[in-house]
Amino acid sequence: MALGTTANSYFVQIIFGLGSGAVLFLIASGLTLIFGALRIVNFAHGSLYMLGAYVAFELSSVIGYGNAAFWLVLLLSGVVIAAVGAGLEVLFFRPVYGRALLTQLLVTFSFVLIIAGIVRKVWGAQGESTQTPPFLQGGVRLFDSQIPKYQFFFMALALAVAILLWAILYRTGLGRMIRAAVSDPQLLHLSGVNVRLLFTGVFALGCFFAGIAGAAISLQGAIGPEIAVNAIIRAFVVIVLGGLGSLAGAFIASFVVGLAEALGILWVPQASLAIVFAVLVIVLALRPQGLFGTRAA
Amino acid sequence: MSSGTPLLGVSGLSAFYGKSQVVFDVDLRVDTGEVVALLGRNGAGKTSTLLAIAGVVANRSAALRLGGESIAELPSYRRVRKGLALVPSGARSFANLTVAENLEIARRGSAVGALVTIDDVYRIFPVLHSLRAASAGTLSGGERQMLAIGRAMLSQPRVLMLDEPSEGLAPIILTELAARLREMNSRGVGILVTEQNHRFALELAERVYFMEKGQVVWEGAAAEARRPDVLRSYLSI
Amino acid sequence: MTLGGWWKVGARARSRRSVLTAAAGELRRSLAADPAARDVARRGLTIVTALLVVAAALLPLYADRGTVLLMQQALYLGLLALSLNLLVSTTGLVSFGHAMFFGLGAYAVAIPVAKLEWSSMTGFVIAPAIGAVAAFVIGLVVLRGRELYFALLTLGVGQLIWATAHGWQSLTGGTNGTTGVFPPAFISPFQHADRLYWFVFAVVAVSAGVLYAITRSPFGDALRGIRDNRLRAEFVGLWVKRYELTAFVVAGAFGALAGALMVVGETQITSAQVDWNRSALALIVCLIGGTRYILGPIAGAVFYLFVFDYVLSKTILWDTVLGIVVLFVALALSGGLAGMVEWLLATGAVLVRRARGTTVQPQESALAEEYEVVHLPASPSPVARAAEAAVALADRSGPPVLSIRAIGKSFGGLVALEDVSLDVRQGSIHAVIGPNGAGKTTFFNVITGLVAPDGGTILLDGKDVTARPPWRIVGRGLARSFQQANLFWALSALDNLTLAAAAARGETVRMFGKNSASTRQHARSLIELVGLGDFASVSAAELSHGDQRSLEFAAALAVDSHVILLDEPTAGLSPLETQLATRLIREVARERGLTVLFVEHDMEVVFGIADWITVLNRGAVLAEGTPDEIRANPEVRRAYLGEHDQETEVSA
Repeated sequence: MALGTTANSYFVQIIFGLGSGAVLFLIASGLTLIFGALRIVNFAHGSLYMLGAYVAFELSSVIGYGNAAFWLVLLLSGVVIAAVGAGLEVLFFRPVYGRALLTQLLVTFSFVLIIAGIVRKVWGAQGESTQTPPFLQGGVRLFDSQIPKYQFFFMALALAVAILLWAILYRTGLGRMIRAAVSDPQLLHLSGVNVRLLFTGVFALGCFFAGIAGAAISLQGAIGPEIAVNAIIRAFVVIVLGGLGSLAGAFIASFVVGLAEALGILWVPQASLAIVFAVLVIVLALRPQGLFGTRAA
Repeated sequence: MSSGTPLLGVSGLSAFYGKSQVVFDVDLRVDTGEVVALLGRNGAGKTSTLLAIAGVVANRSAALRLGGESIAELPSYRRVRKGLALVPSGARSFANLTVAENLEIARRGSAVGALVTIDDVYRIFPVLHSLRAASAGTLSGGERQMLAIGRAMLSQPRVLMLDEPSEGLAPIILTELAARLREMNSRGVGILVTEQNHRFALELAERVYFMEKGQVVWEGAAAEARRPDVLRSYLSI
Repeated sequence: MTLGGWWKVGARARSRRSVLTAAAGELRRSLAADPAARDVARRGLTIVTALLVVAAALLPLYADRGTVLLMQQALYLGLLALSLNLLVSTTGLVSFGHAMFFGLGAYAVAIPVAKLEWSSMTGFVIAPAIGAVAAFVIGLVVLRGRELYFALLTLGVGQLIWATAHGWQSLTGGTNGTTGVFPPAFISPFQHADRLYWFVFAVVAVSAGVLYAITRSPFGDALRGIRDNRLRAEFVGLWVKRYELTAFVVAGAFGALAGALMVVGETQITSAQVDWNRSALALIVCLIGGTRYILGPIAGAVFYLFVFDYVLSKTILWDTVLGIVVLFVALALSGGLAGMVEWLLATGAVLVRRARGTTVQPQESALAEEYEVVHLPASPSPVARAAEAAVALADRSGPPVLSIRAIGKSFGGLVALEDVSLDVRQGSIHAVIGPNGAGKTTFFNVITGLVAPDGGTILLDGKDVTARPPWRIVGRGLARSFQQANLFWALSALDNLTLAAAAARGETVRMFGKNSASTRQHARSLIELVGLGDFASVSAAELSHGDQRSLEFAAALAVDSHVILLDEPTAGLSPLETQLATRLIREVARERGLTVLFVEHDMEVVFGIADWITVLNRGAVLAEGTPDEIRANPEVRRAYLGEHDQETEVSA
């Protein structure tokens, strides 16, 4: 079956939009989870994602580029970034819980700068590229178009993470405690739970997914220092659009943003950047708490 | 138990909110199997005292002991695991969790040795069993208070502190609540309850402290405390 | 090294740190106990600031061209940061997209020059106006969010504007930007080498002066009050949203001025200069310089440009260095550079005075090392009125001053109020009683506009005020005190009342000048009235519970209301304090012809001063009448008074 050329280009863009939305969800899920429990917005989340990409780059040069190596690198990158995140939380973010908003924002923002400098120093400003694992190389032929396999990989990965997160939150004791922390952290403390440790754990979990997202992007092709800022701004749009703290909202909003960007390029190439923010502003003007948000603005 | 080591011993307790001091040098104790009431007007410092003992607000003390063992250095959640439970005022619960999940969380954080199980709680509060899949936020005030008591029971407390448990509850529920507390008490659990509604507390308690402006101003047997002249001077009833 | 070894190292570090913290704590106590040292520091800081300003003004006379140009750039950034700091330091709103105004102002100059061949001065003059209009429109959108939502919304809008500038190449030139925007002849650097610098300096200096005046004005006080306690601000009659929007507009106007200034000075603008990096940079330099100090943001900008100009040339890690500086300042130096200078001066003053033996020794309080022990005695007796006026029963035949008709309110499935109607007569002292959970607080919340009823009407002086916002109801003459004291915590007792009075009288719209003498006099007389004259300069947070209640009452009087709602006015007071408070309420009400509607649990108080009582039970009116009627009512006794022993005769 063949589509006309316009329909074809739409189709391709939609797939790419879904793919980029999927990666966006991997980043935004951690961000919104952290906000829901800890009530801080981690500006450095995009930088940790970028760090995950570079870590994956390094790891794969050590471990290899085969299929099995790919999964190992993916997982290890996540773990490394989780550890880095836990360290940041314990050392620098814990002291600012409950302090003024400006302080919290700038403390997390300072790490955007710190990590950017380190990445530039270690890896240079020009970016790196790495090899795609064999099973994800090449494309799938659909409707006259060649769709790269890794776009579907992104979508599958996002779906898997969404299901995993849902399972953790609603089917495990840990998830129950996280949801309790979202509701009333002090009461949780009085119920005999070490809430500080829980917070660190949640932070690490969020960073784990950021690390995996970075690794997934890295193994797709080229990466560079600019992906951090790009990621965090879009992730902010996603979590505010979806409602701060809502995973379901983040899931839906990620794909809305991904599609809006991809289709925007087709419709009005010059305004493609602006479209996403326009969508955000319009939605929030009508519904300040976002699509699924519960906290009143 | 002999009047030697109290189950909960507090001496020289002071509590602070930021720069201002709200509790001044308070001494009190709860013996095993004793019910003690902490009474006083709004703003007298009763809640702050409980929060300080639980470790939730900034405080300092000469001594703070549970079963003879000092707990002053422990963070709140450790004190709970040692057997000191606090049911804060306002019938708080985890509103986005179901009743069953609320109880599960309490069970996990409990002290060692499960004498009270979730099934026990369901047996004692049958309405919670029928509501176990309901989200806690949809429960009425009385039901949430029962849930809070159930959660406290699950932490296997040696001392149970309750902050204004009768607030907003209908008389029937209060009778039920008093019966449950007496039952726990008969098993050796020490109970410290603060109240504005003195009737409920005085029927339950054996010993009473009156607080005013952050200090303990009277201590004595509950029978004494029921005298009108005492009530009038400390509660202006 | 073994785990145990690390533990020992940590222990040594901890003990060393505790020695340091103890020393720091001791120094802090000395500072707290020595206000003279703080005065020296403050004056010293002013002198240092003045010297630096003069040095900056004279810069072209002794510095090389490069330094002057760099300083110019610091001034553009500094002005942008100053405008942002107006928002941050008064309202507490953190805007993460402030560069959008910078961009709007810059393009307002550049585009007419490029497309319409206007002079750059024309654009320069209209740029602040454009910034103000844009800020008004944008503000309506972004101020729908508070705190974090606001920050993220401003980020979104800022990026939207950046993306528009970036994409709309035909208009703005995109990343290549618009160039060739030359300054007018009278300041052109080709003609007179330094006049451009002095022009920039003059604009920034004047702007700083204006912004400083605004910060110190009654308007600034109102903004800070809003940040301190939004609810209280509404209840002294401030339309909070309007004040925040006005602040946002002013900040936008000056932000646009900064952008326009930059274009005039640098002759070009590209979209890259208005993205979020500049917004973040503006925030960072505010933080580094010190948000609490008027020239802090400029100091931060100078520090940033000069230091990082140097750092940039030395290492590729300049991002990291900046990040570390920001982190350090955010965690440790809450006052920024200016705060550090002030602290150094104060510490120096303390040490000098100690050496001379003139300093005040900090009290060795065993009880509170770090906390000030504030245990104020009970309020002294209010001015004793000569005659205890006979408790005249209010005339119940005239029209009611407050009329409540068929009010209903449910929260989810819970019915809080059901068909509640009552009339409050002019001049009466009207009590509302009922057991816990009877709906009394909800009732007050509905009357005062905090909660909209599901049905029914509320008439104040015959006019419908149902579901109006609180500030409007306060403006019509109805004030309220809260069960939990609700004050401007950071302000002194007297300042609480001054702000309340100023707000009620509309003086807080003044962006320049001070509160009027009559307002200040009004506040002073009120503070004497409630017996807090000796504690006028104590901050509200540090007052004792009883004194806070007194201040609540005074605040209700300060807003010139004729109907006062008191929510459990004697809660937490000792018997003596209760007596004094009760007498005060009755005397003040009678003397000023006020109408008082109050909720109480203390029956002695109720029967002592009320001339009419409404009993609520389970959200509905159970009974109404004079105290005697209520006392005798069997239903009421059963529901409420029956809790008391038969022997306890409650006397009037």
